[in-house]
Amino acid sequence: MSDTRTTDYALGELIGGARDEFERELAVSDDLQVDLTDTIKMVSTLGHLPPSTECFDAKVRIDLLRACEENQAAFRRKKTLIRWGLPLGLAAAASVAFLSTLVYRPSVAELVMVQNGEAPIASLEELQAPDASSATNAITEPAGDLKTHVDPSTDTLAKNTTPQDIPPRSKSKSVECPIEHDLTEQGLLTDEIGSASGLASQLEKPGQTIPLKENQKDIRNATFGGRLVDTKVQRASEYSLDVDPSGYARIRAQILESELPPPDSIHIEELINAFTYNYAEQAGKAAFSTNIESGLAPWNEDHLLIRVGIRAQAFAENVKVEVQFNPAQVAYFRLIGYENQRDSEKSIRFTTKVASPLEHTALYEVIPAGKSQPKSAPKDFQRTQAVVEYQPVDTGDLLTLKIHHRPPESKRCQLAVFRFENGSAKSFDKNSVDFRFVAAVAAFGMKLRHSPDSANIAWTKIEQIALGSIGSDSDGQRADFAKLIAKASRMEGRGISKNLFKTPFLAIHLIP
Amino acid sequence: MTAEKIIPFAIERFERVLISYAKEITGDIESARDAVQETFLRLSRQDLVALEPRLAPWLFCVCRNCALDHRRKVVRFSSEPLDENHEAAEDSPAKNLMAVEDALRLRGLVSQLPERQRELVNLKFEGDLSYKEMSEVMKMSVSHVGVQLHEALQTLRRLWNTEQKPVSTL
Repeated sequence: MSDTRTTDYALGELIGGARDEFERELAVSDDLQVDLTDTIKMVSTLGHLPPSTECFDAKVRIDLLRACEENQAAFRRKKTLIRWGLPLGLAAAASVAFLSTLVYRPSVAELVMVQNGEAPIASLEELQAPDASSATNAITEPAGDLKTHVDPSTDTLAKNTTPQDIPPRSKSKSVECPIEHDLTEQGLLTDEIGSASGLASQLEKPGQTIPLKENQKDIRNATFGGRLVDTKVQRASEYSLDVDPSGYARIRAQILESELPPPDSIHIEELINAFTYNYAEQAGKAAFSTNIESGLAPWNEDHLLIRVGIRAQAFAENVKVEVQFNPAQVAYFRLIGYENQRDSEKSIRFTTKVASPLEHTALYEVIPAGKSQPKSAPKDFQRTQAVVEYQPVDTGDLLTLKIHHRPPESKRCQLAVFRFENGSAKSFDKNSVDFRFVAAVAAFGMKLRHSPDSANIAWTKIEQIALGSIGSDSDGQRADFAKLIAKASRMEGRGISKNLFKTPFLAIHLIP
Repeated sequence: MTAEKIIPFAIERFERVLISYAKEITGDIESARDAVQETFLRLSRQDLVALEPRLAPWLFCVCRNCALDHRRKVVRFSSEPLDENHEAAEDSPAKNLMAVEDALRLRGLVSQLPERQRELVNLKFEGDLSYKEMSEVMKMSVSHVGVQLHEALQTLRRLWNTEQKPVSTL
């Protein structure tokens, strides 16, 4: 075995006295010199090997970079918040508490809420703000024309709306997009006023106080996916366009390996967005186009299912998607999926960068106004019952979709608004192929998550819907999904019996 | 370097190297790519400014763990690497590489090294890590890194000379 010091020396790792000693020996030893020369040649050859050619696909690299940048931005915001937000917040809270002892009298509603053990969302006065200031009015008069047409290919409410990005009406009323700041609350409120689709008219009257809109309270109290929300309490819902594209592949691989994925690992929004849908192209230079369709929820015919398809063209930053339901038409709504997108993701949601053409689909389950309340109201829903009701102005719309975004090279946010009218829903079979397919995907995810809502729909029914909505399926992905449903349903069946035998009591009594 | 520039830099500088390194561990390219993606995503959740001085060893260390995770999940059918005392076999795969350039031949020889030595060679010559950094990644002592790397170089020299036509001799 040769002297290990030759390698250390050749690699520059031999230092100090050991190095001097080695060099003294080297000067008098021919063997050591030959050994070192050969080692240096090998080191040099290895050091000049051409780099490996294996790399990521270009798209993967772009997506990865984007995801990394967003994670890092969230990390920095969190750090800033901890460093500055907490002390400032405590100081501010202390000041407010001191001042409020001098002037504040709680309203009856707040007292009720405090008794119920929760923080008041807004004061009674704010909730009863004049209708003129409500977002409902803002929605009915969006700046810019909205072209809407009914999709002739179906009997249903499918429609493509072409937005016009709505610029701020005048310089003095526009507000720069917050970029580095925490956008979760303050930024959004500023943005809301600055985007000025409906409120601009009020801003034109100097000196007028602008009452807090009820949807601003919604934003503070923003909800995430999975739970049922009472529109009397909260009518706005937000979600991120960022969806992990590998989620479905992971679930699929697990099922193919005969392993049922844990319920919490199922992200329905990832499953939904793993498939491509035939959404119409944007008209002209519009940054976004939408494809909204509603139909009866296949797992509950008293409920509506609403698909919000968004196509984003080329580049936009600070994208925030907000869906506002009309309380006159919608009693409750539930964003399907996004159950895991709670606090940790809250700050990321609003800073999505759309760097390439993007298609995104979200699903809402809706209980129309006038229908009976859900039999088993979830905890969150019960907790919010104490809030005072207000009378909405019925525009006839089911929902309004707002996309806040910042075009590249622009410091100002723009707002694209899309309205979706309510119509009489026909039977599920009359919906478009894409709608039925995405409903099957959602039901599949709900089954795997063991969602109580999915108890009303059988695996065979989900498979039947998927098989009936495969469409052209050029890449065979949908047919493959139908097979996956069959496999998962067999495994679920087996899983139940296997778990029974895992129960010690049953194992003792049933297995001899 | 500012925090914003670290991730693009890290991806550009280490993407191929890490994939190549991870592939040595996972044995297949797809798992290697997944492991490296996971590595960069984990990086993006770190305090980059604080991490920057130790960026390379950190990346290799996390990449190694991710790749090992992937390997545990799949059954490998690839041939086992040579054990520590392996002598060049008669039908060594390197024989088939005689016609290609020396660099490719040498890569073939590296792939015959025992796993740990192969990793060390990668860390040193693709990752440009120091003994100390390698010792952190591999969780072994600095002196052991030196010994293992020395053995690896000795083996490579021996294999090279055994199969080398008398064109260039190391």
